[in-house]
Order: sequence, then C-alpha cells, then structure tokens
Amino acid sequence: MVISVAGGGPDRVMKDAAINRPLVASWPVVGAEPDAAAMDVSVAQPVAMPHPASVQLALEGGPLFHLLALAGRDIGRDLLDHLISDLGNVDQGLVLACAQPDWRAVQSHSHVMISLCGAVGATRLQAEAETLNRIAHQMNRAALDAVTPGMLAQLGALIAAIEVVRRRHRGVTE
Amino acid sequence: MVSVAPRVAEKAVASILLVEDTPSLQLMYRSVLTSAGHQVRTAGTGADGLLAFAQSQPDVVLLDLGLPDRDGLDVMIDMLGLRPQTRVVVITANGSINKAVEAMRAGAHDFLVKPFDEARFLSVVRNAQQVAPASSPRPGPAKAAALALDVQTGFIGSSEVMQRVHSKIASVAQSMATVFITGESGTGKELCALAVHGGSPRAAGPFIALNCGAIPQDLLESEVFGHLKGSFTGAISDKPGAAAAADGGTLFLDEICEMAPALQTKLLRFLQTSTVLPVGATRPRKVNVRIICATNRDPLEAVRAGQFREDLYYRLFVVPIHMPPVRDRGDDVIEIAEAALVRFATEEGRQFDGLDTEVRTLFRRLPWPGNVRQVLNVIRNVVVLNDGGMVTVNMLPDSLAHETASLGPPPIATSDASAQLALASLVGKPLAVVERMVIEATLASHGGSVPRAARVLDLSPSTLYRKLEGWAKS
Repeated sequence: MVISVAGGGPDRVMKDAAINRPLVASWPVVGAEPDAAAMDVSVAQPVAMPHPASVQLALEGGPLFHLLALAGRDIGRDLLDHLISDLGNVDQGLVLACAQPDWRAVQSHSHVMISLCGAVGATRLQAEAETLNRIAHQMNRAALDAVTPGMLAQLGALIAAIEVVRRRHRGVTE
Repeated sequence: MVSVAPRVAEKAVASILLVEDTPSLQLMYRSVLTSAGHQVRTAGTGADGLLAFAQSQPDVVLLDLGLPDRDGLDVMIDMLGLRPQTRVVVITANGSINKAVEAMRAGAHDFLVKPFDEARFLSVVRNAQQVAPASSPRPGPAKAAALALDVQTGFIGSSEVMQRVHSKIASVAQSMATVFITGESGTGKELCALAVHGGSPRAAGPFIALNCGAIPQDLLESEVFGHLKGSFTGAISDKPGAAAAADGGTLFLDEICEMAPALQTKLLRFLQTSTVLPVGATRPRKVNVRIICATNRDPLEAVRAGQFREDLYYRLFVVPIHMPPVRDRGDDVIEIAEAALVRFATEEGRQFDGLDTEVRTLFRRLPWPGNVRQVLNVIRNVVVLNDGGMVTVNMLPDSLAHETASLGPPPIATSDASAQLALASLVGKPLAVVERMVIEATLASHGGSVPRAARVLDLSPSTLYRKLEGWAKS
C-alpha cells in the first residue's frame, strides 16, 4: 500500500497512489539520472516547488525505507528527526550562503546535501547538489543565481516529503 | 546510503568507531553496521572521536574527513600515532577525492566517497577487519601495495556477482581441488588464481604462473616439466620446470586451451600421477602441486572443436570460477575507476576531485571490452594528460569516442504495463515452451553466442548446448 499526501498539504492523507503517479514523472526530484541539459547551468530555470506527495511517492521502496527497516522503530524515528533537521540546516544555510554569496559555506552545505540526498535515494537532487558544489568551487555567481531557486524548491519538497514519512512512521510506531 | 544488494552475512565481528558529524548520516551508517553484527561506537567531533578511540581501541575507524572542530586528516594522524595497527577508513564527499588521496598517503587503509551504497560500505569494513590481525602493526608500504593489488586485480567492487566470486574463492581456497577460471581478457583471472593461492594452506609456498599461449609449443614441455642438461640443443644446464618449481605451492596455467595436444597428454599424466618427468630424464619425480588453470575461451567449445582433450577437461574443470566482465558488474566500474584515480593521482602528484555525473553515467553504459585493464588504462590516461579537478567527459581519451558513438540512446525502462502484457502472453503455455522461448530470445539478442546467452541466463554453456541439441533432435 502506498500512502501519499493529497493536494492541500501534508495533513490530508489518501491511499490512491495511482492518482499521484503522473506527478512523479513531472517532478523528478528522485529517480533517474539527470540528462545533460538538466546539468547544464546555462539552461537551468527556476521552478515552482514540486509537490511533496510526488517526492514522497518516489521515495517509496527506496533506500530510505530500507534504512528505516534496518534501524527499527526507535532509531528509525530518531533517524527521520535528524534527517529533517539536517536537511533543514542545509536549506537555511544555503539560503544565507547563496545570498552573499559565501562560497565556502555553499561548498560545505552542498557537500552535506550530496551525502544526504544520495543516502535517501534523491538522485536527481543529489546531481544538482553536485552541480552547485562545482559552481561554488568555480565561484560563478551567474550560475549560482540560475540554479539556486529551482534546487531550493526541490529541497523544500524533499523535506516536506520526509516530514510525511515521519508522521506516518510515528502513526505506525506510537 | 543507497541499498540495493542483499546483505552478506558478516562472519567476523569488528569493533568499529564511527566519527561522523552529520547526525542523520551517523545514524544511517550505525544502523547498517549494527544490523550486520558489528559493535559500533559513535562520535560527532574530532575531539570526541579521539577520546572514544583512546577508550575503546577499535579495530576499524570510519572517519569523516570534514569534521566541525578539527581536520579529519589530523585526527587520523593522531589516532595512528596512538595505535598504528588500526585500520582507518576515511569518508569524504564527492568532489573531495584529493582529500582521500592525502589520507591514503598519510596511512589510511581505504576510503569511501559519499554517498556510497550499503554493499560497498560493508565490503570496505569487511576488508579492513580482515586485512591483518588487530595486534600486528601494518607497515606503510604494505598498505600501498595492497591498494595497488586491489586496483590491479579488479577485486574492488561490491556488486552481487563479485560477492559471489569472493565467496567461491574463500570456499575453494582451503581445499586441494583444481580450479578452472574462465572469463574475458582483463577480468582478473590471474589475480583470482593468486587469491585462491593466497587463501589456501599452501600460501607460504610458491605461486608459479605460466602462460601456455605465450610460450612456443616446442619449448612449453621444457617450461612445464623441465629438462636435463644436454637433452636437446640449447639445454646448457638442468632446468627444473614450472611444475617442480611449484612444489609445495600452486601452478597456474593460463590460456590452457592453447596447449598443444601432445603436451595435454603429458599434463593429464602429471595430474594423475603427481610426478614430473623432465625432458631427457629417465626417472620421474614426485611433486606436491595444486593446479589452477584459466582461459578466456569457452573450454567446452574447445573440447567440441577437438582442440582440448575431454579427459583433461574433466580432470581440470573441478571447481569453475567465472570472472564476470566489467559490463556485468553494475556500479563496480565506478568503484574501480575511483580507486584507480586516487592511486594514479597519488603516483603522479596530481589532485583530482572524482568523476562527474556525466562520466559516471557514461562509464555505466560503456561495454568495456578490455574490462578492468581498459578502465585502468583510461584513468591512467586521464591522470597523465590532465592537471586535476573533476574528471569530465572532455578529459576522456579519444579511444573511448568510438565506443561512445556506438552507444544508442539510454535504455528506456520497461513500463509496468508492457511488462504485464509480455507476461500475459506467456500465461497458459507449458513451462518447457516458455523456457525455450526465453532461451531462444536471449540467444537472438546476443547474436547467437551460446556462452554469452548462458551467462545472462546464469546457466553453464554445456547445459545450454544440451538443450539446443535436444530441441534440434525433436
């Protein structure tokens, strides 16, 4: 059974996964390797925040859920708490660092983002974090401005999706 | 951490100290390790890590190089100063491979580039705990040699297929059984033989390798069995031969299918009697030798073609080990390339930051006909001809261009619907008919090559031949 969030926010839960299926293809925060065009900062465009439901659906059955199964109830709960906190720190850190820009901080936060996204199976976002990391090393302001809005939107969607997983996990375990 | 491969049961339990400052990653790594049976202690800073290290004296340390309070490299140097025999595996992020290079120079046992998958993670930990007894100090040069051996062997790689090879090597090493290694050129057959020898009770004995395809046939008998002085023109002194030189150890006969029929008869006699008769000698000499042989051909096809004696085939083909080509080893190609990049960059004094996403994608798709040897060649070329940085497609040698050009568009995943449709067409048919359809389709997709189709179907080529013969008769 796949539980995903319906439109309107993470508080409403529905069970019809099929309804959300097309969204996964529309918002590939996780999943297949990005194509070359997506990696080219010159063509990257700011995008609206993907729907968390699609992201959460795409996480289903992936590494995050395998890790939760390995971790067990209590550690799994801690893991989700820390994951949301760590991704939130990255999000806030990147917003501040990109505004200045503080290149060392962008490098550092993108490093953490690469690791976290890779660990949970958000491969598309991981690839974008790798691009951001390269941009930070090159100190390319124009490229930074081009990629940051879309990437932060996707990061927000990932955090929201993991928040849904956390609520569901708590619903199951408490 | 991407978890795809089934977990391999850990036989030995290592005490591990994990130093990682990102709490969620620390929990993820700890969960994987504890579920594999390891005792894990964790720390989130360099200072806490050193304190825990002094208190717990772990066998293996997993150390993130990017710590909030200290440079992870300095922490590692302090740890090795306190306890040099500790195996430290450094963890670094993609884009910081130069830090891993520095760490390897400074005494790290191995490195992991984040994000890494579960199989790779456990494989590195397993290697670290098995590399030497915890009580024996590990000299620096040996570590470099071990890394070099790993890179050269192609034994880097945590794919399921290589896990099976490792497992088979470990099982067969303890016995005296003859091992027959098959695999394409460049897949590491000789190093597989070395691993069997190294894991066997005769590891302290000699390992003698002889390439039957590289020695002229008229000299091969003398090379294998030796000769006495004056037994033929040019025999100016006694020569013991490879079989006698391997007494107490292992004789590795590579490209065995290239051996001339006359010598095959003598080899069969040697296997049956464990005696060697040097050219010109009248009395045989008893030797205690384990035989490992290898070929890049299908040995049964050589038997069918009359090029290889059937009785010798059955005598040698006791425990077969197939070394898989790189293209069948999933993400191993990335692990091999990254390890080679670190090693070659160290040798050349360059700093590289890893493989970019496009290169990784390309590497996964390339057929690598030269296998590990080709991967090493490509990475060597990149390191020598470029100053450093992230490895991009533009840095790859031109020789890869034609292989790249031959690649079609990336494969499109089969949809659930079409898979269901294909399955539905088989439902209602007898299993034997379905089997035949699958085998014939597989053969067709591999240009009619029985060995290749057999590999894909996880069957021995002989089984496939038998089935084809049966269908032809019917």
